[in-house]
Amino acid sequence: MNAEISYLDNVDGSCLYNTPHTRVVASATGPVEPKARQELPTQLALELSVRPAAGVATTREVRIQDSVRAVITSILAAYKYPRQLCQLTLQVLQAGESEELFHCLELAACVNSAVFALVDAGVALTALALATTVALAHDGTATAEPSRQQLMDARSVHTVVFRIVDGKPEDILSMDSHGDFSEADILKVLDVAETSAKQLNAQFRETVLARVNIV
Amino acid sequence: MSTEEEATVEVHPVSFPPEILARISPELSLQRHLSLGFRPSLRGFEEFRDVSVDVGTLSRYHQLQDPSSTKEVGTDNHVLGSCVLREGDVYVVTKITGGIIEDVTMSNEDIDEEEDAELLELTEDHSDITKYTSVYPVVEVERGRMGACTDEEMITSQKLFDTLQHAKILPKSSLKVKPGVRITNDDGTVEIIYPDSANSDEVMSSFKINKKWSYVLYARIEVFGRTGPVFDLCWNSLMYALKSVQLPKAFIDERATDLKMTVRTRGRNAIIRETYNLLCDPNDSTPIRLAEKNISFASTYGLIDLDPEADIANLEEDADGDEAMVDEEVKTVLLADIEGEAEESSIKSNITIVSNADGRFKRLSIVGGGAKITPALLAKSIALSKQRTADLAGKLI
Repeated sequence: MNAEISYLDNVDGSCLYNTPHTRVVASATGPVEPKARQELPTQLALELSVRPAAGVATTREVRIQDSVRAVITSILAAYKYPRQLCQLTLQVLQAGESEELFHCLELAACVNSAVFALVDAGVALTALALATTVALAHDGTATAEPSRQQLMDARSVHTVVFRIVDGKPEDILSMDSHGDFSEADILKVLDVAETSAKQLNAQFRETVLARVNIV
Repeated sequence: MSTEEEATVEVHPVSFPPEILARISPELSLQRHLSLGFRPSLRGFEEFRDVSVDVGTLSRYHQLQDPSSTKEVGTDNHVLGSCVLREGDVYVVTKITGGIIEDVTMSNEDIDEEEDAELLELTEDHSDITKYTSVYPVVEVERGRMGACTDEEMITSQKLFDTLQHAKILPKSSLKVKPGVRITNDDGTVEIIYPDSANSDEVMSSFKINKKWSYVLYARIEVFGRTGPVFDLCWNSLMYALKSVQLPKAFIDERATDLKMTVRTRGRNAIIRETYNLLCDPNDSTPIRLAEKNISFASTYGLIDLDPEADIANLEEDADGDEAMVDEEVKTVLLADIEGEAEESSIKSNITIVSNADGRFKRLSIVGGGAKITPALLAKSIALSKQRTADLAGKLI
């Protein structure tokens, strides 16, 4: 994983998020004045849109959007900005998976890039959220950050988002699993995902530290 | 003493009947109910709503299957499989319709393999995801007004599509069209010969059909009287409906099987194209073949932390003093089958499980954010989902 923070000029926070397979540009603007219908009297409103690598957004992107929103709303310190709005736009540049069958790599990249962009924008968060994808092969081996082919060959695929508190994965914010798996597989996946989230977190801190040092 | 009494302002506590409190403060109302050990719907924490299903009755083949009925009502619709599911006060009507498309991407290799591969696919465990397909669902949650589809409808439809694809329930081979041929005999009688009917070999061998077709299935799912999340209801309804699907047999008229047509473009370039007029048999149909062991059912769970301040037992103790304010550990409860506005809006953490009768999972969705999801609670919901699946699978005829 590598991320280029403050990638765009005209927004408050942005990030170009790269994994070996997936690329997403995220932009965050906020807190800004909302449209009347978006305004929430006690909280920060969140406007989120996900755009696909090719073509126009479909129900598939609405679904990714919904999952990202569930994660972001639970880490935003929304009470700090009543009657205001935060806009998040996530543009997928490269899906890295066959789009008619999967959405897990994009979902993970969208969550991570959105968090980077929010941190860059300086919007208050109560915790960090980091997502990772795990594919479980037919022989039971779990691979974090699978490739296109590994996804196709997998028995089940899982996207897990952890809430990071005090520098370590604290609890599960979201898990989205498809395929064929058992109870033991779930525990195994959570284990692998946690290790992967720890690595991500270390990289995340490095990136943010480098950014803070420049400023 | 008497002057003092006159000086005090009398404050009447405002109180609301339970149903009004539930509207103005759903969270408090829910917490009060939970502290008494039941939910606003008066169900227990781990109690599901009862499900009743009516499978296949809206389908065009329904009356035909019932010889006692003389009326052939309903045979003019295009529904291939259906289910009316009732859970509590919610009705979910699922109608599956179909269409036929020409397979244009098939390689020669596929055509050769096809014959023997079919049976293998259904029994094979580790089959490729590309060998399976899904139905195209449209979910409509009726709210008594018209308009563009809501996010919830789009998300539920997409989830149904993805889950069905990954659950590997519907093999592509089951949707292959095996066209028959309509022949006119010497005595003028018209007969349709299908590849699977007796003495078909000699007829079929004389017609060589080069093209391949597949059925595509569409599911229209209407939800009436929504009271909570609808994914599990829609999924279960879709499973029952899919089970009842009958695919119409299709045939080509013998005159059209080797029809060649000359297409002229720009006057000079002539291309020979084959055209087929594929027709569906109005009466004859075959039941769809599904990967039975992967048929699975969904259930939803909510997790909520009990608020000690809303606890009615503490409330009564509070009257004596502050001794009730002992810091206890936060207790999280698991509520099965979320229903009602209070539960839906107050419960931030939820789990959706789709599992089959063997206890294998096809989909697991966890949304955190509210109560912390501990492994113990996850294990509990998994155990409940197995019971629920066994119960729902029992309703399958």
